[in-house]
Amino acid sequence: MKKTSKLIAAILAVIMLFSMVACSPAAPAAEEPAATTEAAVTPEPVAEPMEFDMIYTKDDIQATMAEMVTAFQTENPNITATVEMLGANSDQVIQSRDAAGDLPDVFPVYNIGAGGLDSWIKAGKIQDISSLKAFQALPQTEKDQVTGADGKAYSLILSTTAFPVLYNKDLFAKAGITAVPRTLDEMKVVCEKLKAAGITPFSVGAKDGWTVSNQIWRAGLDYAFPKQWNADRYAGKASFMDYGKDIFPYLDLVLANSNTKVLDTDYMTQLALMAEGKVAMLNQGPWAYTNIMGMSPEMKDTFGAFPIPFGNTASRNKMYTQQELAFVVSSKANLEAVDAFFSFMVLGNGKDIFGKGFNVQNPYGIPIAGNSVLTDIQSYIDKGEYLFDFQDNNRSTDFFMVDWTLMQEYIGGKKTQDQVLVAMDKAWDEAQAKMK
Amino acid sequence: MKRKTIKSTLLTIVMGIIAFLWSIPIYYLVINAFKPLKDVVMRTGNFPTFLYLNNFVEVWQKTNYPLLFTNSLIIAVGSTALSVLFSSMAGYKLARSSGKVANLTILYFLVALVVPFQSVMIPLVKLMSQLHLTNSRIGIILLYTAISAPMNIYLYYGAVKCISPSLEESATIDGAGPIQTFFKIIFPLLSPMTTTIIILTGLWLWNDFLLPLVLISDPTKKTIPLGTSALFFSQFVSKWNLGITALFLATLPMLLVYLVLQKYIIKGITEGSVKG
Amino acid sequence: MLNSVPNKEKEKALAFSFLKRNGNGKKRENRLTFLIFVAPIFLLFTLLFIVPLVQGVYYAFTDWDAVNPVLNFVGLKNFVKIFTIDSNFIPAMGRTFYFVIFNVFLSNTIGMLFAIAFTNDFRFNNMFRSMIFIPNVISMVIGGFIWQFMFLKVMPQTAAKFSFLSFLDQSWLSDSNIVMFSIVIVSLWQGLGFMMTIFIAGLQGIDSSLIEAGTIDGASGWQSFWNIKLPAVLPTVAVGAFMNIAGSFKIFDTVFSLTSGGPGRSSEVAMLEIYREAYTYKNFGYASAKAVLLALVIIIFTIIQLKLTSDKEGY
Repeated sequence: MKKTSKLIAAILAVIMLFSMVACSPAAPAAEEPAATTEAAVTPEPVAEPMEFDMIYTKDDIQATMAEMVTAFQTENPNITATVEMLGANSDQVIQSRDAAGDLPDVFPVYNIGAGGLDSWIKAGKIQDISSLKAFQALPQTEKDQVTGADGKAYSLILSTTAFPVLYNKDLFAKAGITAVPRTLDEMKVVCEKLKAAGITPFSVGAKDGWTVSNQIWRAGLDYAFPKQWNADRYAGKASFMDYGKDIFPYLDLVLANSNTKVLDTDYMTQLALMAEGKVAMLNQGPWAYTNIMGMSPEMKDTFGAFPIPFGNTASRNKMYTQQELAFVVSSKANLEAVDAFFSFMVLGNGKDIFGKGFNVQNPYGIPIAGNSVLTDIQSYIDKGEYLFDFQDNNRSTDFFMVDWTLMQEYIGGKKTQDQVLVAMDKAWDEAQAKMK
Repeated sequence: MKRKTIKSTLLTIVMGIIAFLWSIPIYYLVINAFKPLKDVVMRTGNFPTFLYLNNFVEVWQKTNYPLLFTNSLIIAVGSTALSVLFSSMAGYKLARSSGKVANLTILYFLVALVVPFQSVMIPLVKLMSQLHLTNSRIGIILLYTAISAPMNIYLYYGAVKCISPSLEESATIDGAGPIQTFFKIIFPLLSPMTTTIIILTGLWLWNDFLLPLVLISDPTKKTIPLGTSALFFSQFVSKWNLGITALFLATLPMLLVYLVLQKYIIKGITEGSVKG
Repeated sequence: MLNSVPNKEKEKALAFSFLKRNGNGKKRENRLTFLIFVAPIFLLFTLLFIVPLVQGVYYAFTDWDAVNPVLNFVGLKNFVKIFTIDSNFIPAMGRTFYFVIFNVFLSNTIGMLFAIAFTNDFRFNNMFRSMIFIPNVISMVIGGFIWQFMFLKVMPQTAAKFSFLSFLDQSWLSDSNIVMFSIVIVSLWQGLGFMMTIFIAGLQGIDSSLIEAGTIDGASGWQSFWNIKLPAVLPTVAVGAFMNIAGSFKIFDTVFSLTSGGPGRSSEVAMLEIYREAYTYKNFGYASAKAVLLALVIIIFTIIQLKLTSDKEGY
């Protein structure tokens, strides 16, 4: 008995010793921001060697990004840029690098609003980027979207993307459809015509829940919910029930006219159905077109895009656009080096690589190589028939998975419309309660 | 004799059917490495209509395969060797000691098997960086040794319990020290378990993705799963054809190692039973 | 007696003298060997696993968001939240139990049956054994993909061809009543070879003279199994079952790659729920509290299992 207690005491002693070793270096880490602020204040000579490291997650621009970095280094031999592409689990990697005291100088954020950035800002780990030349070149609307009440901006939007309906022009022609549907009723007619021609109207891949929750539900939220709603919901004065029902008619129409077994169909199969020329439409963005072309290059130019017709007022059915490449800058980063890189990319000699190689819509007016889908999307933007709204960025982060799972439950018949909306309210309250 | 023949024929048939069913998914893995993406997604079950080798070419070009392979090999061999050495020693001694200290030590190691790894991950990454062990092959070898040890200690513990203590007793009487006794007498007897452990630990390390993902960012230190999975799988794009090919290439050496070692298992077992 | 020990070890022995009791030389030497054999891995393990674990457990009592250097101690608040406001974790634990029960029972029984079969001498024994083991070699990212295809295409097609196999035509991954069972199937496919290998190693390790003695006494195959082989192999079985139980509670990869917890949340197991709490929602402290609870549940079940087997084991 005595031996046991002695041993336990010994083990505890060892553990405590090690935890002290493990914990003590944590203290200097807290001082680090102060040290770097100092460095930033000191004026540095232009040619002094600088460096930064950056992470991005858009894997289809890998080759071009390498080209971009090489071109940048040739022009700025004093700045060393280490740029790394991360595939799966990027959030986890960024968090663990941060835990290791090695937060990348520049890293991507999907959610540039409340849930995504708040913790970084509160922790003092990312810095105000409003002084970047690229940021200053942004149109006022984009600037306003990311500028807080305190006048600070934390994320730099490099490119935008859209959530439209993609369609196969050849199949539309085959079914005798001459114009794209701009209202829900017109869409119903289109579905009937396609079915009459023996074509499945919609490809749905609900096994990957985001293909419905992001591409239909979230676009629908911005269609249906007024801007004020978010603030009201936070104040407890509003409910998903208020406008949520306006999204379901379109969702139901898609589900009623889709491939079979949608819960057994994943994203890649959803695309492959299009690539096989079997199905006429799907709710996906430009990235899906790129992937479909990867499977069936011969179908180039047969695809087009139009805004999702949620309701019967054509003017309300707008092209829903969102940020795509958006980056934040670590507090420890050398802002001058980062500024040089982004300026090179969207304002300087990198513009050409950016427009032709990345081929992404952007708020800098850089002409892009384009493709049949991007051209269609741009035409709606040029006409002003688009929404550039960060509503879902201001919802609590939890909603990515909440939307995903609830959409699957709705499709599987486990929940009715009302139950889905009630569950969303409940999830919102639960998320708020958890934070407290 | 005749009854034995019938029995073994029957076993061949039954286990053959089971093994065949077991292999169906593997068959699909192999054939899909030789198909373009559209066929992988839409015609997964079909045999390739033509010999499509582009996947292999592309994987080879996009990854520095020889480098990834070397890193994986160094890490897998280093960690497995250390783990076998330390765990066999500890497992043996713990199985042969009775009393509170030994039991408590066993319980202490047991903790590792019940704790979900995700919950130690962030503090672990912190610690590893404080010890300057991130982006280091030695660091990851030490870590793998530490976290694979508990399971292997248990396996050795069980195996040692099946060996009669009389063997060591006679060796001790002959004047051999404890270390000598262990390496000369016990360790050879444990060879079936050692082979099993080498395979199990080696395979797990070879395929492990999460630990290298959070601990290694230096491209020259990356392992095969890290250098390939991250490239071919993400939420919005899954280049299944390339991913499958990359993992097929990664799996191949392990399959060969396994098939070679399989012979040694049998050998070890026969020797063991002769001695026993 | 210490004189017979080389210098380095003497130092080591002195450093750990707190472990010593005033005993005779033999005992002291025994303790020294114990240290030589056990201490290296004990220290490495303590440093690289227990230290972070202690820190992780500490986070369970804080509101840490995984990013902010400042964190507040909140006492048992996180644990209270799990039982009061959280609507996902308890159901996720329920699904985990369902999985554990089926997976542990099936992989132990089938694994043992396979092991017994393979310890017999028959043609292609080695080849078949390898074929069953090979799924262990494959990462579950790919395993998940292949099985999606098995469930979504191969099984329905087979069912259409052979009417007596019509039961294969199920919504394996999209029916919330079936999906957990589908995960058990994939898990067995991947893990059974592992259990089987451990059991074979155990069965092979049995002193063959015992079995021979039994055969001479006229024991039949089953009698020799129940009375001689099974008791002898029980320590190995206990170890295998133990790892199996703990591993099943912690199931993550298979679910992540096969269903991502869907449809809806119907296959969201505990580890997946914890993972999302920590990395998607960044409630790291809260997620740590859930992990601590999960670990406690595993510990309780493991103790029960070890008690049950060690009674039979007789050690």
